[in-house]
Amino acid sequence: MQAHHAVQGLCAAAAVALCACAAAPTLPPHPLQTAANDIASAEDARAADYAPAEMREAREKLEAARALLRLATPGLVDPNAAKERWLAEEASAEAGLAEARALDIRTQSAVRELQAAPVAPPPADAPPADAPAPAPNGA
Amino acid sequence: MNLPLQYLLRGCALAALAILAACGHGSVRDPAALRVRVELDRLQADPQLASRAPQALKEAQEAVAAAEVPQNDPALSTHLIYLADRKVQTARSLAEAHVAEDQLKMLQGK
Repeated sequence: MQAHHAVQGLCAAAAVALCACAAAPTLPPHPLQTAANDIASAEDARAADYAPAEMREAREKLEAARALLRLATPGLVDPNAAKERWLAEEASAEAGLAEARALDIRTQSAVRELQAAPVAPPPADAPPADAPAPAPNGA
Repeated sequence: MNLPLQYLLRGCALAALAILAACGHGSVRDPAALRVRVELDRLQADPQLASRAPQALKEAQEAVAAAEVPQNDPALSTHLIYLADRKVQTARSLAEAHVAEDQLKMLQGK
């Protein structure tokens, strides 16, 4: 009987724990993770080809934030937490700028290429624009 | 005028100047924040670009407003101005890209 109660108690505790997990609010992503994601997104957009300075800056800032985080002692308040967050936010902003610049430069260059492209000549068998209309068959 | 009184008056004058300077500090905008504000205003006043990247422009407006709030910590102020500057540049680049995309569609006859 005692064992039965113990099992019941354990089940109840497990149910409560499960409910607590399900109801726990999702934490916002850490700024370092957000910055890493933003840099990856900019890399996917080939931002390094079009905005290399911004991409370099973004990577350097993220690396500086990570280096500060490595100095933190587990279990103790991180004295550099604000600086890490700022660096990560700056890395994100720089990556966003790199991606926007890349899109801008790529699109503008496509426009220029199309504008500079010679107008395609009409097909050889097409009549000149000012030629008289061909006589209808059987005339 | 005797010497101690002269020193006292001079000290009071210096203290008053220091207080005045401290009071005025909050109301004088940081030149860097002012420059970012000018850039944002230019973008918003451009009829071709102002409406082309609404989300990025909103983020830029919020970042510039945050950068304009006087901070006690100069490092925080520098950080906020940096973010605002990048957000304004991002909004401009995106707006220009969207204008170019429209041109591209027209040229391709779409």
